[in-house]
Formats: sequence, structure tokens, C-alpha cells
Amino acid sequence: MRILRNVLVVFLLWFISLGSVVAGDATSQKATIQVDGLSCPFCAYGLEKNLKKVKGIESVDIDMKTGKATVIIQSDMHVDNQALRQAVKKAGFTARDIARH
Amino acid sequence: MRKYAVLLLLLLLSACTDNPSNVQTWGGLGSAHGQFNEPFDVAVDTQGFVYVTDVRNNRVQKFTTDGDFVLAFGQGLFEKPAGIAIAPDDTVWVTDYDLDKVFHFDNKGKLITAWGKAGDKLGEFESPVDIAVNAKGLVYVVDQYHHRIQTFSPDGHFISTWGKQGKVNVVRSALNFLISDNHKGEFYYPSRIAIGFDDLVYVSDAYNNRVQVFDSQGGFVRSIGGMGLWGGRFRVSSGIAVDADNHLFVADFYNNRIQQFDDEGRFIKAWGSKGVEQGEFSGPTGVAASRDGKVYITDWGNHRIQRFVIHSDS
Repeated sequence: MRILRNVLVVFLLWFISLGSVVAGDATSQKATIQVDGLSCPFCAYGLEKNLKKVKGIESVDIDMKTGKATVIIQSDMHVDNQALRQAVKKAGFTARDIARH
Repeated sequence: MRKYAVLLLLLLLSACTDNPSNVQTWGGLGSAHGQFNEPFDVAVDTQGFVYVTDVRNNRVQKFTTDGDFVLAFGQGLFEKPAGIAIAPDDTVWVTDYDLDKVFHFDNKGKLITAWGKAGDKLGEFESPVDIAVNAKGLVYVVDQYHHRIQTFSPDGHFISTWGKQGKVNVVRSALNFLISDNHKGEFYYPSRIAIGFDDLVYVSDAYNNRVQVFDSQGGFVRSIGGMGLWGGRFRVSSGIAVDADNHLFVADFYNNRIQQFDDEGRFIKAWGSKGVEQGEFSGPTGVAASRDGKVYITDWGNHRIQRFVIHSDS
């Protein structure tokens, strides 16, 4: 009985950890980039355009007050931070922290 | 010493006095007719009709001089309508920033032609942000990420280009009334273009905080402004327009004001401050001047148009 209970606990722990991995994958499809020097529409539109060109990015939202660009990545695509940083650089800016949600 | 301090204070304050009269506003955030979601540029035709690029609603809206809605066009064509200009024949030219294209419409919004593509070659664009047409029909396009101006025939045939990337040091820019800031004819993210009645070409050199003036072939004539807070200085020069007296109006984005200069580039006056009331701005990005002395501003962050009547004695 004790063995069965231990197996059940191990299974439950495995199932919970699996769930968190799946949830992690799902939420990792949103990334927020802190961008230096982003402050007017002439800047924001350029950054938005360059980020939208990255393969796998579904939409871009830029908050000029906070200097943050939030990108939604297609669920079946992977976009790494390097690709995001390159797009920001091409737009004429520097990417600081990139947070995945 | 105190006398100089008082003079300096008066000079600084002089930048924000003598507001034009009869301010009228229209718009507000939304997608209905007459509302805007990031109005970016404005133009006025010879009949006094006003055209606005409404970025997030992917359209151009046309209004009477008093702001009554006339029609909307371009939905389904535009990705991000940016700059707008009226040709001498009252046809309408619009750049699309994301599509790297130029659209040409009649004054009822019917498409005449579209041309342009993304690329680095002559005649190609990387983010065309504004457009102007001179009396001979020559089309000027601000190719923002190439930091250059390109000229075309109305059917899109490439003719010429000038300008390259050149960034003026901020300190040199702020002190350019003492020492020349150099980089003449170069740009750092140019934002807007306008043609004077003498065919002079005015380019808002946004991140060099100045307006450069050229002859119709791109020969450098003069530079106006430089980084600063007081009258005649800018913090990111954006929209520009030239009126019938060849007076230049400049939207001074971060200083949230409009500045007026005479035909030699001498500062006349400035008005506006940050806010939501009439005569206040939240990032002005476009200017148009009508033949009868009205100046229209796209008040980008407040999602509205403001119309001012310029004093006849100014």
C-alpha cells in the first residue's frame, strides 16, 4: 500500500511538473523588450516595423511611456532573444532586458 | 549680470506667447468617422479640404475646413499610412511606412496609382515617412531609414536623390548659434518634407533637431533651429508646412508647441505646451497651412486635429 502511495505521489509530482512546463511554453509566446531611446512615433513605428519582420512574430505593441515593446509570438514558432535584439538594433535602438511571460 | 539674466528669461518666455486666435479642435480617440487613432500627418487642398492620415485605423479621412467629416479612404490598401501631401492639381499623395509604397488618389479617394518597394537601391524605400509635390509635379519622398530624399516623376520613375546619414552631436546642435553644427545636407531620421511657393524644399531633420532648406535640386540653402527649449529651437522637429507668405511652421514634438519662422528662417513666435486643453498638445506630428491663413496640426497623442487662425500681422 505504501509503495502504491509513493508511486502515486511521484506520478502526481511528475504530472504537476509536466503541467508547469506546458504552461511555461504557452506563456513564453509573449516577450517584453525594454528599449532605450524609444520616445516618439517616428521611433516607435520604425521599431514596430522591424519587429514585425521577424519570422514568427504575430503582433507588436509599443508603450512609449515605459519604453517597452511587447511582442506576441505565434504558438508554433520559436523566436530567440538574439533575433529580437537584432531587430531592435536594425531599428536604431538598443534592447535592454527581455522578459518572457 | 542681473540685466543679462532678465534678458535671458524674457527670451525664454518669449517662445510661448502670442497664441493664434480662433482655436478649433475635432476628433478624439476612436474608429468612427471623425475620430482618430494616432492621426499622424495632415494636408489641406486649394479648396480648404483637410486630409488626415489616421494610422491605426488604416485610412485617410477628409474633412471640411471646419472639421465636418466628408469621406474616408484607403482601408484595405494601407498598412500604416504615414505622410500626406496635396499636389497642385488637388490630387492626394500618401506614403505607407510599412508597405514601402506611395499611393496617389484623386480628391474623392479613388486610387490613381501606387508604386514603390522595399530595398536599398535608388528608387527603393525603407520606411517612406512623408511626401511632397512641387509646382512642376516632381514628387519628393522622405526615405527615413536611408536618411535621404528621393525624387520621382508622378508615375514613379526615379529621378534623383540626396542626403545620407549624419548625426549632429547634441552639444554642437545646442550651440550651433556659436559654432556651425556641420553635417549640412545630411540627415538623422528625417521626418517631414514641405515645398515653399518659391519651390524651396524644407526637410524636418528630426533627430538633428533642425529643419534644412534646399533648392529644388537638393542644393543646401540654410539650416534652421538646433537642440533647445527657447524660441527657434527644437526637441525633435516633426511636421512642417509653408504658407502663402513662405512662412515656415514647425511642430516641435517634445516641446509640445508650434513655431513660426519668416521666409529667411528667422524665428517669429511659438505657441503651445503639453496638455489636453485647446492650444495644448501631446506630441504634434503634422502641420498644414491653408491659403487663407489657417494652420492645422495633428495632435498625435490627443488623437485630434487643432486648427489655428494665424494673426494677419504676424
